[in-house]
Amino acid sequence: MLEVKDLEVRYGRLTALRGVNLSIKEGEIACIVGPNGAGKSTTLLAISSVLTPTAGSISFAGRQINGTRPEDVARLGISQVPEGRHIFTSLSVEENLRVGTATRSDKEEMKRDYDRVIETFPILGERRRQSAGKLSGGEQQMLAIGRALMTNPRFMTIDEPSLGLAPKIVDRVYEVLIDLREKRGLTLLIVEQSSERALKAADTLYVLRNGTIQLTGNAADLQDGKAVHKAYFGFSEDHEGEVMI
Amino acid sequence: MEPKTPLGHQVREIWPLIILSIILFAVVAVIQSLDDRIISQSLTEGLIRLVVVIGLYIFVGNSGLISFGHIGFMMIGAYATAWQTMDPMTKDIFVPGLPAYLLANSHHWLVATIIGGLIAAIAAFISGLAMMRLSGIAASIGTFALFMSFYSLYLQWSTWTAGQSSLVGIPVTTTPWVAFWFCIVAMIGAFVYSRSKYGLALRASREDEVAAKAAGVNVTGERVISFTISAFFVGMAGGLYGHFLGLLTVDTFYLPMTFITLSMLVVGGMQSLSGAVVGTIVLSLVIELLRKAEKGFDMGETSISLPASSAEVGLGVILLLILIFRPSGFTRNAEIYWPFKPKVAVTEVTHRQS
Repeated sequence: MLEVKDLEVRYGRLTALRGVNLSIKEGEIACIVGPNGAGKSTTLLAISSVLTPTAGSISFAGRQINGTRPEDVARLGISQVPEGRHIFTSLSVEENLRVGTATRSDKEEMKRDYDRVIETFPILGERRRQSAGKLSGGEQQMLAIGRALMTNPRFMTIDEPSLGLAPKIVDRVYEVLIDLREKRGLTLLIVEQSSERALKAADTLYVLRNGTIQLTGNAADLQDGKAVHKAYFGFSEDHEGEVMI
Repeated sequence: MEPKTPLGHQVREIWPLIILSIILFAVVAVIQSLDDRIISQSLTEGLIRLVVVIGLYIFVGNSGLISFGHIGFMMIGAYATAWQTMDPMTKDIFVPGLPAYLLANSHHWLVATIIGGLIAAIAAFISGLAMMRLSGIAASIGTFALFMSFYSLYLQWSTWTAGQSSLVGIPVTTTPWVAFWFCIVAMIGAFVYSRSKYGLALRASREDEVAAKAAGVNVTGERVISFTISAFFVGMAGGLYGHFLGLLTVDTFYLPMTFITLSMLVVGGMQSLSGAVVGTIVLSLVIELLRKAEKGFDMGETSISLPASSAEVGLGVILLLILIFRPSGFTRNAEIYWPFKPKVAVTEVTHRQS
């Protein structure tokens, strides 16, 4: 569904991504894991066309999408849940959801998508008049996901859904994400710092470090974690005690 | 969405508008019943200021950018309206530079006020196209620069504005009830705009510009729309003001007016219509009382009076206290509550996570 080939992104003189390749099939959950500064968020921003790649190509459902405007990418059915949630804290829950459809004018469909989001997250319906800043962290994450769903996407990228949340709440967030795949047939690309968490949720795992994909694999084959550890840190678990210079 | 009683829902949706109109109506009715000419004039002035503050709220409240420039639009509206309503005989004397059509004709004050508002809106639209690309403090300073340019321009443009002297002979048509109806129209305009998809998009950009852009909001465009609508109401308030005073000087529209109206909005709560209304009512009352006290009360034999300029000092103190103890204003940026408890209140508590 989404093919990323030899993607390169630079911030000025700094090269953030040097030749990233992803191949995500329809209906799967793909996870990108990697340490800070590996280029995970950059990859997602390039996919939603907020950043312009310097080289390489991104195609979605057979169509090349790099170079199109972010709004148009959204219209093709790619939706992004940004890192740190970025909800509008003093707007009500309902208003937060409506901003997600600012670019659309089909009232009927908007209403239908709204009802569907509320059905997925009943808590948002109960609190629709409350200001979003009063929601708990987990609820805010649900709201951010709900807002992304309002554009009725086929493909969703989620940047660090576990950021700043208690482990129990993170479990719940992942349950919701897996549910979205089951019930809506959504294809998901999740960026995650914790490889353990990613191995549990993902079908396909990508380990990104220093702007390149170090490892691509079927999550089922990587469950022991050793290969992932090596790709993630650049050395294997057996050497853990040694000082790396 | 809970479709039990559609009418009840609609009432709830526009509740702040209803309650604010009632409060305002009560204030006007009570003060008018005193039948005191001086008080009634203060009331009219207060109501015109309320139109300005509501206009200001349309931009400041929704965009989160402070504008120091709106009194410039009030001035543009005031002069544009006066040009249309003055007696053609006096126009020859005071404003000989006007185009022939205006010199020979005059419009009804209501038509003239609306056109005056539109002219202010056009000025805001054109300047906004450049100005609204700025964000944060840069935008505020930009609007201040814009204001100073308009002010200087009108001060020097003597064949149109009578320059440093005043423009007299404007028919006095603004009564308290006229001003009241303009307040109601401005409130409806502000309320409908802020809940429209344009207002919503702008409020989202106020909260988080980056996230709003990512959601497809054209932030500059939304700001220009809001700036224009807001200048329309402020411009009409200018028209009303000219037809309240009966004369216009450029100096009327300078820093005191700018800061009084901004203080009213800040004191009430910048981000809500209720804040604009409450702030204006409260501060107007305080200013009037202090002005009264400056003139002195008679208490039997002795007369007590506050020193001159107490009103300004009092205003400053209130502003400071509000900024320290309640920075989001009297209303804490919220609209007036729906007074009837929702039935889901109990279940909400049990669902609360973490």
